[in-house]
Amino acid sequence: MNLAWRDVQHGLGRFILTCVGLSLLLGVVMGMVGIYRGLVAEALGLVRSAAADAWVVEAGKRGPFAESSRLPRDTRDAIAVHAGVAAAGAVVYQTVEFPHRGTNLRVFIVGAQIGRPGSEVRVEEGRAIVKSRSEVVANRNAGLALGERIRIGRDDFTVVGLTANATSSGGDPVLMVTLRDAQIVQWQFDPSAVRRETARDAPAGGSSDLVSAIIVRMRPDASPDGVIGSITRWKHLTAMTAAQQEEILTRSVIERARRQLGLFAVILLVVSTVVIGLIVYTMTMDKKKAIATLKLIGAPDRVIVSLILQQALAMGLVGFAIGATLIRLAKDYFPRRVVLETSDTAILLGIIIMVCLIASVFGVRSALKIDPASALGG
Amino acid sequence: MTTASTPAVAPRPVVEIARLSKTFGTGATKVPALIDIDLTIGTGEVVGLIGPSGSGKSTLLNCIGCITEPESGTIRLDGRAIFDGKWLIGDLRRLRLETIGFIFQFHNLLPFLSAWENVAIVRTLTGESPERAKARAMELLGYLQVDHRADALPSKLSGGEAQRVAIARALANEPRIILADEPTAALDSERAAIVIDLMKQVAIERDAAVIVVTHDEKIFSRLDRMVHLRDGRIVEVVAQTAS
Repeated sequence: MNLAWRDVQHGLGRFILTCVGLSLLLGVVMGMVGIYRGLVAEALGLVRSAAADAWVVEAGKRGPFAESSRLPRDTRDAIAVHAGVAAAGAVVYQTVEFPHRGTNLRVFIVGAQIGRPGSEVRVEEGRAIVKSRSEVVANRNAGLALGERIRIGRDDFTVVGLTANATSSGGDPVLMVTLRDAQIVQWQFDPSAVRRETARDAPAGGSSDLVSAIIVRMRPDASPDGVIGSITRWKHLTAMTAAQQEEILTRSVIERARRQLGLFAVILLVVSTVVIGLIVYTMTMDKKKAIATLKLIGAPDRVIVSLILQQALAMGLVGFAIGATLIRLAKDYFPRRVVLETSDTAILLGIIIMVCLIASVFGVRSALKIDPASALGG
Repeated sequence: MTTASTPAVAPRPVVEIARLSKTFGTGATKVPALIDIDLTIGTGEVVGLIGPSGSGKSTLLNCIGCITEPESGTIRLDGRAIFDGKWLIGDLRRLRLETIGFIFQFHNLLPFLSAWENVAIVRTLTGESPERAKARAMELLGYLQVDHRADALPSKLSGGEAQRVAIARALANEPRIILADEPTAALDSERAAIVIDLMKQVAIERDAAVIVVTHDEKIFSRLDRMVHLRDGRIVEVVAQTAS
């Protein structure tokens, strides 16, 4: 007979309640890891979806995501004919807020040249942008409906398509428009401001034909380092590979958030260890008389240690299973993406097993110290 | 006053204690708990350790049960030298498992095991298969006429039933020595008499020695011998003929 299992059966209600309490804690740990993975996925999603071999930005800048970058749009034309370049597309990135259904909707606008790198998008419902103006493809989490008319700046747009999982590194939904529309949203001044600047004999805002970056796709036979090196020789440009762009994003944009979440997850694991330790200790103390009796009738230490360890592991594993189920059911209701990867779950399971073993130390120590003579008498 | 009984067959000594002493504390707080105890108990005997609180009854029981280490003297259990100034056996728990059965004041059945499991666990601890252990447990529960409650948890048993299950557990490994600590304290007179008679029956039928620590006067007449202790010494041994 398995003593641990029989003891659990005897106090099944209490054991389940303990496991549920623990599962909430472990669910939060899994949630933190999932939020971190979601943060990375959101941050890198935009970079990866561009499928760029190289990014060209303003000289000395680490844009377009880590910091702002401005380039004349016609830089794209020069790069497109550069040796080793198969295609190039200019893009504009900008975060805007606009009134929508009585509140302000914050979105990340991506302006791209239709048919050129940066404009490809996987439309799940509706269609891609085909007109040169006033059409938008929105990510689902923006809450916009197909065919809905929205007003951004001084222009009206029609939602013609919906995408999924297209968000900025800040978690804002991506709205894709044509490059021209994005330039207008970004650079166009209010008419009164234009009139004032004209009266001062100063052109309002200078040129508005600017872009944030140029996405470059290279020929299969081209040397990426060679192409990037030759573009960088143009002193007004900086070129970097997609891997370098991802590295900048990871290091600059999400590093602190990653460390913050990681530290919080570690703190929660420590808290879980303490909680499991306390529960195991309490459970052991509740069985003090039974353990003393077991010792007195001749049960070896391994029987008693096994009883405690099995219960601690059972508690950890059941708590983990319930926690994993809860977080999987709840992940879609989080305001930002939560990505639960199987490898993370497996690693966390291993950690929980270790945590249970460590947390059992106090319970096991106190059990081994119980005097069998304490079973005698009242 | 010493009244000697005359058994048909001379009992074989199972518990042999010579010049056993035990002191608790050190220096000014030193308290002698047992002083030069000599005691021999044979098969088929039910011996009561009697005396006021602090007289050394429980200490003597714990020394015989290999729970408390004496300071000096010798202990032989079932013909085997156990203590001679120091423990002579490395694994005392194994010795307890194989040689000694314990019966407690409040039965001390494991609350999460059924009646038969409480008995069978002693057998499984020695490595016996669960099937054989269960069969042996059921046999013992039948012997003690409590097999109809085999599947009940201790919390569902009456005081008398629980104490019978506890006796069955004490007998599970066919021990030669049964140590009982106030086994009737929680029982009424009628049930107390039944339990002591049961232990006597076990001692005779199973060739074991039973040592009972008790304050319970209503069972004195049912004991074969009463060993009176006071201040750590045996002050009187009263042997009784069977009534």
